[in-house]
Amino acid sequence: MNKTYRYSLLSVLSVICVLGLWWAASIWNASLAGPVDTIERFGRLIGHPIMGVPLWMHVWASVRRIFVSFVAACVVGVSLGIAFGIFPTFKRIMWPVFSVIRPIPPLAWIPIVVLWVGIMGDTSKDIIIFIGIVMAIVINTQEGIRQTDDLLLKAGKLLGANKWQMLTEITLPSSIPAIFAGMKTGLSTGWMSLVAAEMIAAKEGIGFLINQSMKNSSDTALDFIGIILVALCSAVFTLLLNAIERKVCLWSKMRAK
Amino acid sequence: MAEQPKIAVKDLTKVFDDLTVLDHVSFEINKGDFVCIVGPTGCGKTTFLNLLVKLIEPTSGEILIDNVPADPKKHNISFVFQEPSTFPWLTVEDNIKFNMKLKKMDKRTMNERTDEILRMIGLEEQRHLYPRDLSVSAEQRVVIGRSFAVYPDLLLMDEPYAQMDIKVRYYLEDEVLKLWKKTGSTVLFITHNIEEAVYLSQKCMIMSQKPTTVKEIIENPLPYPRNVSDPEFIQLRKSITKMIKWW
Repeated sequence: MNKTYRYSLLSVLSVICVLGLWWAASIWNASLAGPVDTIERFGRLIGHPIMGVPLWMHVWASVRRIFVSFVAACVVGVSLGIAFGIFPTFKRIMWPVFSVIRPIPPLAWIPIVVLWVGIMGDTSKDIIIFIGIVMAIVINTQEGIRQTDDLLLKAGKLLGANKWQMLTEITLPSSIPAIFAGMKTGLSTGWMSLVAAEMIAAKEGIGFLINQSMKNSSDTALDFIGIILVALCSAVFTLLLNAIERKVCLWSKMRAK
Repeated sequence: MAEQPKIAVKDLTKVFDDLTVLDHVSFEINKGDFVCIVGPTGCGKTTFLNLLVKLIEPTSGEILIDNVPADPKKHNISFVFQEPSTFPWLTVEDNIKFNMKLKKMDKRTMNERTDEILRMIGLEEQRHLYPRDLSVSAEQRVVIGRSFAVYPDLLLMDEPYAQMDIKVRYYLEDEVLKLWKKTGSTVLFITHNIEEAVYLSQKCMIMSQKPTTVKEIIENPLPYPRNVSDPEFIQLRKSITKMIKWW
């Protein structure tokens, strides 16, 4: 049995174990939906959409929000991280402000954001998710730039690179693996923020579905559907990001496998 | 009329707190010379190279290249460190091109030079590999190739083969001589290995213990290629060893 086959088998086994534990828990606690109940509920959800919105539209609403917020967070996060990394004066002025804001959970911003842009529409949700994603990207970009190998910086300087060439030819390429790590961390925080934001202020989305399950406490199967959908969507995003990283960081010893 | 020196070092002094590392060092090097700098460990050889490329500022004195103060932005200078400084995100080929791209050389010359350098350093087949796939010695060859690719006016090498075993070192020493002859660059090569210095150099600059001064500059008249077991070679090596002995 070769290594890849053995590892694939172990992965399948671990999923079966989780399903087994879930099933056992549902036997032990009758109010908890088991795997079979969840599959049945899934069938009913397809036939009778909640609030008249088909399931795929709930999924699409969440995916769209994550995508928009992620792209915006990448642009802002990488730019801000670079600015922190290469402009010491900017860092001295802005870093204390950033350090104070950074640990605040994205959810704490919900009342302010809702007051500011209103509860309707996607903007409030997009902003909350954006806040959830952007912090990790800023930190990792800044850290990647700070940790650029001194020898390479010296080499660039001695070869006569100007400031722009130092940034584009040396500092940024060497920071790419750190930037990707920040994007991945940000993405998982983004999914957490998405579910919370949709639970509080949305009429569609996976978080909205989970919220509906809470309103009817016996509908834990709907909660499990929401959990599984978040896990699947998040896995697809991570796989895509890993594929892009593999393409961009062909050279890296630490690249995604 | 006497030839104008490529490098003129005048009264160069570097003091770190209370420690005088270089003490009124003065010498001249002609265009196209291959000069090896030898001296006791810790005598300030690397400090001297760092001063030459303005990584640090001298306490007093000046370094002139072509009669103007040394500046990597104005002068065509390349540097090879003791550890390989390949850029990990670039292939072997792109690493060789890196220096030429910075200098905005035209594409045709760049491609021709890259092919030529890759042939000379024997890495044609590895041109699309990344540094992570190479051995340390192959990586150092890429850095040396990258440095010679711009036909530098001045190439500074700081113990580039210190991490190599003797067999690889002999091979790389021949390679660097080939590249030097081809490009006509002026080379300043720091080493603590006296045999290496005699094998490579036209002139050997012998530094003293700290505070460092130039003890002597010895002409090396032996014809290339040199033979390490040749009696004249051994004689020269012994006399240089005697000069740097401080024990």
